[in-house]
Amino acid sequence: MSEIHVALEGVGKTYHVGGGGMFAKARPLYAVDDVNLTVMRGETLGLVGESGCGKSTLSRLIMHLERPSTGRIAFEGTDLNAVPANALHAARQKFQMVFQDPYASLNARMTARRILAEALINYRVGSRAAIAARVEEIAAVCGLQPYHLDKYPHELSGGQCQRIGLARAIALEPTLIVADEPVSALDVSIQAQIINLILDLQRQMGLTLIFVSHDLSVVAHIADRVAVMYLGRIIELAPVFDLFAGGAHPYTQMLLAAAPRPVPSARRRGQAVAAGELPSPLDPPSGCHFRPRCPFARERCTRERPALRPYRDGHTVACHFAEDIAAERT
Amino acid sequence: MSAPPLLKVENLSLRFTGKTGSLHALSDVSFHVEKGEILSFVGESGCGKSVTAMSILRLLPRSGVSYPTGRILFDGADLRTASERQMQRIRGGRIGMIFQDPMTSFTPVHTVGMQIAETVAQHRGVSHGQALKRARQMLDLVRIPDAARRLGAYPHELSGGMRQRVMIAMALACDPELLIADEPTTALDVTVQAEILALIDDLRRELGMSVILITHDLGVVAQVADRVMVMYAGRIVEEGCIEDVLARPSHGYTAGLLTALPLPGPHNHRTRLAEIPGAVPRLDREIDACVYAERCAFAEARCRSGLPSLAPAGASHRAACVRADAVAAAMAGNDIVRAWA
Ligand SMILES: Nc1ncnc2c1ncn2[C@@H]1O[C@H](COP(=O)(O)OP(=O)(O)OP(=O)(O)O)[C@@H](O)[C@H]1O
Ligand SMILES: Nc1ncnc2c1ncn2[C@@H]1O[C@H](COP(=O)(O)OP(=O)(O)OP(=O)(O)O)[C@@H](O)[C@H]1O
Ligand code: SF4
Ligand SMILES: [Mg+2]
Ligand SMILES: [Mg+2]
Repeated sequence: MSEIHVALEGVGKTYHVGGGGMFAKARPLYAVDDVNLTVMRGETLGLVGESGCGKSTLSRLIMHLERPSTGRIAFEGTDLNAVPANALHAARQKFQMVFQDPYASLNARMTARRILAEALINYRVGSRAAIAARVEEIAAVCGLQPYHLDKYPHELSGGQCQRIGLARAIALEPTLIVADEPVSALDVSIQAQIINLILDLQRQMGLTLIFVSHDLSVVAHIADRVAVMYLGRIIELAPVFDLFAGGAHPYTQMLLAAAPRPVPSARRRGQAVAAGELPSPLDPPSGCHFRPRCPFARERCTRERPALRPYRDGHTVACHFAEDIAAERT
Repeated sequence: MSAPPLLKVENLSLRFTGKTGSLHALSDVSFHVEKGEILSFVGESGCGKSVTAMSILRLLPRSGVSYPTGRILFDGADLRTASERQMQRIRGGRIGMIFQDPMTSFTPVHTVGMQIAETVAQHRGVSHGQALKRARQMLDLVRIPDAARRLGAYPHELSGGMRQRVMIAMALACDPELLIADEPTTALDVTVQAEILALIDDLRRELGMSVILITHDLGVVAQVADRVMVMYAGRIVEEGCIEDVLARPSHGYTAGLLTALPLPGPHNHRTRLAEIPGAVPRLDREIDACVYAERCAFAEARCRSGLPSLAPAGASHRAACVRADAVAAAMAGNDIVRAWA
């Protein structure tokens, strides 16, 4: 039976921007807005959406690097924002994050060996000798040679640094990894190595994975389910094949159509792209956030915020007219 | 005769020397960019794409960098020997640059509006007010919502993708003749990416702007570039117009790249991807063999017995591979290649 690993209920994060200096007073920015989501143990959830829609913020909330402004996040059944700090520290072992920029996320003044040992020392997982042995072991699992361990990040390639990022993430044997664009900075052959490594680690350790990426072909390859975000909200959530077969939300359809593919038919230089105004998170449109860009928008979309609702089996969508739009398309 | 190319790089070699020895970062790199043309660079991480871009703008540190050979002719003048004053006028003016890491090109202590306006004021000699107006216009153009308000944002208050767009705005603010864009759209979602690529393409057509586009996304290359230059270990290994290179990849490394892409379809889901075995060679000395031979699925003895030169592989297409025909034949069944054939 599958079991719920992380559950988000009405999770929101509000920042206050502007203020100070020459520009008007601070205004609320709803970076994440009323997100409801469950992730099952062992599952790979892909997270996609426009830039600035809140993917990284949501990732940081799930990692408990920030506190939500509203709602609650249950990790293995416990709301860790409601427990004492030492209990949160202890729980942190179980979830780890991998970042997009392999160089920026590793301490430049430490060797790879030191970076990996640090996490283990922090959690006092054994004697110094045991930690040293464990560092070599996880490095080997991540395809690093012992001599790599004595190098500093700037002496390693992007792919090697990303292996260290992954090794550091798995060092404490977490059950959940959130990877925020882990392969975006890598060329395709190294991307293939890192994806293979992630697949292997998941098989060996039964890891749950939340995988944030703009590269839809990578998400299609690795994810079991995909959540699409737009301006702080999840607007579609579907099994991977349902989503990539077309998507029910007009924004998802727009994303799939815009994905660059190395085929001649995708060569559409000079042709205007279906655009529409990008909405501002500081002044979001009323009703459906996608309305100003949506070719199907009607009056109701201005008035009423579409809820994330069942569309098909295991497939939810936040569009008032998803069924009509699907019918129109066929 | 057609006009001379806007940029012509001839036999450029570059070495880094440090405590730990020397690194042959570029070896005999020659290419040109025509007016109004989009040339893309692709290649293994660390193969020298960014270093090539940085040497055009002379942005590499002076100490520890040497150029055993080469000229960089921009509009006829050699940038290698230009004065620092001339370079300052060119950087951000006639040549715009979008850097791979947006954070390094901003100062954290000024608002993004100030930073764009300063570039404009410096190159255009306009008033601060006019420069700010231009900054606002540029943010609109790169589709930053609520541009007026975002002018007052500090870099850390923007998402990765927004920072990237601000940098694109800054690079385009002075109508450059050449835009060097290092992974300009990697941090953007595909709808905004498509719009930025369309914007760059419009500027190319309307103003005749030339573009060097560095990217590892072959989809982006196929979509907007006129020509592609494939690099490996500091060398150009294959080069030609998109249609020819994708219809007939003729170097082992290009073949490796195309094979490593994830394929669509349920039967491929979560399967292992094709990796290129091994690692890039150490570049501490001249390699008198094909630089890719150690990892190449097509390599034979002669690949290791001398450096293959860039030889014609088609009408407007060259490859440095002694097994070019065998590679092209083996790749004929690849999905991407079939689509272009
Ligand atoms: N510390 C902060 N202060 C103010 N605003 C912030 C802060 N962090 C993020 N934001 C805003 O929150 C929104 C969501 O940002 P986030 O980084 O989560 O987006 P994202 O989906 O990860 O985007 P990208 O794909 O570009 O990385 C953006 O509008 C961003 O400007
Ligand atoms: N300032 C420097 N000092 C010493 N070596 C450097 C310096 N800058 C780059 N290098 C080295 O030069 C080589 C080429 O690096 P470059 O940044 O051009 O790679 P790239 O092709 O842009 O890779 P990526 O796709 O990862 O961005 C690498 O081996 C790199 O480590
Ligand atoms: S709810 Fe309305 S505006 Fe929003 S996506 Fe659906 S049709 Fe378009
Ligand atoms: Mg992000
Ligand atoms: Mg680079």
